[in-house]
Amino acid sequence: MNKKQKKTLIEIIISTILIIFNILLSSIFKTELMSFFSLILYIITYFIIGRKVLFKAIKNILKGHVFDEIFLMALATIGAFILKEYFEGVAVMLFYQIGELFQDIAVSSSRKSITHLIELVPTSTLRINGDDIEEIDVEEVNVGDILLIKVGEKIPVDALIIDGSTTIDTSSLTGESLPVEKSVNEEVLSGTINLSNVIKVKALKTAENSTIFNILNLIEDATISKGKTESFISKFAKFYTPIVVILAFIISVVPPLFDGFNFAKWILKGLSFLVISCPCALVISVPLSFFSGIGKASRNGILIKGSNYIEKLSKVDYVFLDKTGTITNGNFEVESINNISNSTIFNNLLYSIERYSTHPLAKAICSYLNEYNVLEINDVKEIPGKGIIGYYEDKLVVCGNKSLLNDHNIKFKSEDGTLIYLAYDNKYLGYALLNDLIKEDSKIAIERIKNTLVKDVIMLTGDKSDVSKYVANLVNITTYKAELLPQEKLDVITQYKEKGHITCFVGDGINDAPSLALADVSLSMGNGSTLALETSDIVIINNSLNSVYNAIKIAKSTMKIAYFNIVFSILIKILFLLLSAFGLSNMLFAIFADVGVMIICVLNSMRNLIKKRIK
Amino acid sequence: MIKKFNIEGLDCANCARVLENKINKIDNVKMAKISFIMQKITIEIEDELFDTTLQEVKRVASKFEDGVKIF
Repeated sequence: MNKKQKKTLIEIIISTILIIFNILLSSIFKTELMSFFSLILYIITYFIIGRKVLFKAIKNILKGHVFDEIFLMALATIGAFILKEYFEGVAVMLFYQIGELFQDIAVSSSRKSITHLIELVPTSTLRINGDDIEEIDVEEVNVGDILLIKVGEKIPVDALIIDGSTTIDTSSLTGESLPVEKSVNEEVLSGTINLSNVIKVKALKTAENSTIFNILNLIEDATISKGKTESFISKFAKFYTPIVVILAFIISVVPPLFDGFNFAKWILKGLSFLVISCPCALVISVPLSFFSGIGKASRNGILIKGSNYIEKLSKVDYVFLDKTGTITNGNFEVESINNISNSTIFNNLLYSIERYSTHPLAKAICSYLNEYNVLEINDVKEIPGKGIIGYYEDKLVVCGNKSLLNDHNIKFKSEDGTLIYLAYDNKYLGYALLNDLIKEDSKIAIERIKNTLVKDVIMLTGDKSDVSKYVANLVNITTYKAELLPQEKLDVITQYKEKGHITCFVGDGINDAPSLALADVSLSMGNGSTLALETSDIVIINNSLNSVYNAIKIAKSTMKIAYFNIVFSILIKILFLLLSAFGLSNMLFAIFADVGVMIICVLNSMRNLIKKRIK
Repeated sequence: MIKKFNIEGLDCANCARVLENKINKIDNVKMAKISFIMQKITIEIEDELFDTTLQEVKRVASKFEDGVKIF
């Protein structure tokens, strides 16, 4: 609680005690003097609890700004005093203040829950200049600066390790509690914490372009873009307010004509009608629901760029997944080497020629075989999409896929999987089988999504049929389409969209830009890259498919909360407005319908933040 | 040019909504959005008219309710 809130709380407590004291005294001593004393006490209490509202109402009137909540409260309570309903007047003001305090605490605590990210940004850092080390503000860091990061300190900007190796705590960014190992030439992201060793890093970005700031900006903006539900509330409030004002006027003016011209009584009823009508519960609780949904997601390593995406995500029918980098790690590893001749010669040759290629498969082979001898290969030529050829001791080495071997009329036995075949001197020597490893939690995440949240999970990939089939089987995907060009991926998604289904595409954010743009809502595996932040609606920072499951779940529960708030607050308001229109409610009922409903709705919105972190 | 400012002193979410509508009606303001929860206002104004229009926005806001500040 801040100072202002504490002060209000004290005023509320004092006023409550005074009111109870007053009621007790008045019921014991029923003399004329006592009722005068009681009035004085009520006026003092009213002044303690309501003076700010009163002054502000006066100031606002002077500024020509009437008919806001404050004005209504001041008018209604003064009206109550004029009608000698002292208790009502003070009680209404008291409840109003309780409601305001509550709303204030709720809003500021949920604001904090999101801005917890700000605490991840250090304010200063150490820059190395030759032999000097100087402390500078994070804003002063230039790209290329060498920085010293001590143990326990936060990484100030996205940077590359140039000296030392350490473990990094990324939990604040990804929600992933396991620290990760990082060493020379690996990137560390701003906002993560250096846990075990001093490292030297080279700044890759300035502070304002670094991940943590991007994320902060994104979340701040997320609360600004409004979804359909929020626009509905705005439209609703637009029509609703003038209608209730007119009704309140009618209630104040028409009935007294048939009630002995008792205007004061009916004007008060009209005022309580207005108090009930304040749409604040609705206007605050719906954005707050979305806000807490976005906050909860961000704590789980999911960045949602706007409340409108929560709405769409909650309605998704079909989830389309890219294979490489989404279901799998996107890093190939050699699973086995199958040679039909001498293995040392095979390995030496394979390693020596693949050294020349930059293809991911070649790199995987080299890192697997790195202890083998380097043979001298001449006239090396890379053939795009096929492989690489060269000469060893004047005889041709052919290393690549099926079609490369066919091109050279080499006889070999074709196998399933991602393969690199090797031939030397027109003789087939064998192959290396490579696998793109499936992420640990892909299978369980896909099953959870499929079984509980959506109609089906479909895999779309540009990879070959046999590899795709293999992966799909391992993760229990029954519908998949392989060997798709980017354009064909779009066609598949379009087919589903045309049938009226809500589609969601999950990709790695780099190669899938068109699909990400076409789907109703798109998620990308972040890898911490700024690009991924830009291309999709929702970014999964920890790269796990389980976060896709969590994202959809959070979206669904957020929408439930938002809908409950809308229906509940509108129904209660209508009920109390009807009661009040027929003169069946008093000011205390009115204040419940206003403040009580608001508190219930705000509490409901906050449920998302109170619930523990999901697993 | 789109810029983001802090906005302080708004009493309730509904007031924020009403003020947002008012600011949107100011000449040369292309778009204005208030996030009551974050206490932020995002305003889009033509570059060359930015400063003068921003003054007008601030004036409207402080006139709207006592204690409302944009900074």
